[in-house]
Amino acid sequence: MVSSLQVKRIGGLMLYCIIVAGILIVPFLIQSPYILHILILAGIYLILAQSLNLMLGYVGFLSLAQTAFFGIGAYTSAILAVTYRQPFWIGLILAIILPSLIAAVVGIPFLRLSRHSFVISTLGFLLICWLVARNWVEVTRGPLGIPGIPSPTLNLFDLVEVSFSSRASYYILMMTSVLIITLFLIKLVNSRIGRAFIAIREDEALAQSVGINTLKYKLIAFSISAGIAGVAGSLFAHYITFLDPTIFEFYNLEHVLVITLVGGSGTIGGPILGSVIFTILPEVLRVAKEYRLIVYGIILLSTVLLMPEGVGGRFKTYMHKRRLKGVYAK
Amino acid sequence: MSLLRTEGVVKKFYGLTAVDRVNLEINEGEIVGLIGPNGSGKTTLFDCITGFLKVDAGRVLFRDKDITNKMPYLIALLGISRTFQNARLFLKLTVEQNMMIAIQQHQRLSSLTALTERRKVKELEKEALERSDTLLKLVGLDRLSQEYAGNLSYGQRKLLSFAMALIPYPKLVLLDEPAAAVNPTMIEKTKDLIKQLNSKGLTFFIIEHNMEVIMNICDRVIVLNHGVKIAEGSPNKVRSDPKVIEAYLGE
Repeated sequence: MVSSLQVKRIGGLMLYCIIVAGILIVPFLIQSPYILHILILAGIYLILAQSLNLMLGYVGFLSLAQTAFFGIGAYTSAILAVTYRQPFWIGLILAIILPSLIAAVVGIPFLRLSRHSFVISTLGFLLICWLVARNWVEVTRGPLGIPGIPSPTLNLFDLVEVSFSSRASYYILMMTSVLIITLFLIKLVNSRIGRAFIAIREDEALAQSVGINTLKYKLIAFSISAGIAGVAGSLFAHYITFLDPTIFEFYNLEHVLVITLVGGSGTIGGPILGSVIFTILPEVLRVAKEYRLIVYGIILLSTVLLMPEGVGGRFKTYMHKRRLKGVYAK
Repeated sequence: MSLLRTEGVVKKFYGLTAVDRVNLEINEGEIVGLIGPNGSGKTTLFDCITGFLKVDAGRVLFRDKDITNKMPYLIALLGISRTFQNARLFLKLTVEQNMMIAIQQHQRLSSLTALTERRKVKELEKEALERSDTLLKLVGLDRLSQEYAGNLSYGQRKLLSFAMALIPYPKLVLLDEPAAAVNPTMIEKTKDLIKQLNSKGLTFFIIEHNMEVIMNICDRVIVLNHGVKIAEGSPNKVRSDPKVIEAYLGE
């Protein structure tokens, strides 16, 4: 006999396989480089949005430094590849480690502050990173930027060499990263560590009174989120192949904030939905150029007013209510 | 043996001295009440003991160990639990999730193994669920375990925060107004619970305005006024103390 739980588990696994296959098959169906380009960018912003989501949605601290870690990751990767001729994979790993370490260090003072002061201090950090990128010319080449960042290649024991220079192959690389990060985050937020994050978000004083070392968990979250932002940065640099200090500009920040808030922070699905909506939407609205920003603004405003918890949050509440009904019906 | 002792604890908020050189001692197995008019520094004293506020002078000793100005989570892990005046809970989480968060902090497991050792985690989670269920049954909330804490009535919230305070196998429980704004049946239930747990050796330190509760369950009462300890003794003795009557009613 197969129990209903097993059926559910097998069903879930199959659904998961279908989703993965569906995502990875896209470049074989769609040849248009334009659409693939849009999807790759959506993937990069999705990773960045998830890193913001971990801090904002799970620990409850709005960090504006995520784009700073994004930029640091991008620069680390780019400089290693261009100046030091290192393979992509070393750059990617350092683009994870360096932002995490920086976050752990600056997090010690920042995360002792109140939530509001934390926002401002992370904004300050972002601006400092921007200034450093513009003025530390010997390393970052300043406003001239770093051109000619090579496409990633994967070298397997000098036997096979896979290059990710085409759009389709980069798309596969991108989506694999997205999948790995999403799975990691799902595991993390549902683990005991994730539960401590949520406790801090809901009531920090109470969290302390039940024995949670809040500073430690906040630092863990900040560090992990910085590492994730670093991945996005590295993938961005190697995709665009050119990097200059504008990566620290507010456009990126605003874009991921909108994705996370409208999609629904505090859920893993929310930012995914958000990044799909806000990647397709500007492209669709391209036909009506003058009205684009207005429509964009209306959607953002109405979400904030009507669904402050975002689309994902609304869905979660709805599902819980349905489950409760089931519990009481018994 | 004294379980908790404060020696000359002072807490100042700018010019105002909220707690002024308070010495007190709580022995193992006692139920001690802390009373005083509004603004007399009762909750501030609790905050000083549990590390939520840094004291300006004096010492707090728990089982003869200095715990002055330690981080709140460390004090909680040492065995002093507390509830908050307004029954703080993780309102957007379910009753069971509230319990689980508190329980997992007292199961020894490092963050790293929590991610890697699945079997161990599973075992602990099961243990935690059982403990959550036992405690919820004790306070009578087991049927509401899947409900959001924010949907509970005020009395139920107090019971849940009481249950959460019992999780770490504490030696001492500080209750901040367990009976305020709670209906009479619920008050009876809380009183029974305190007595029942006390008979098993748990020590209580209780802030309460409801004199009937204080008279009923406390072995000893400490009275604060303007941050100063003005009286101490058995409930009956304190009730007839002229200084206490003056503090409550004015001259």
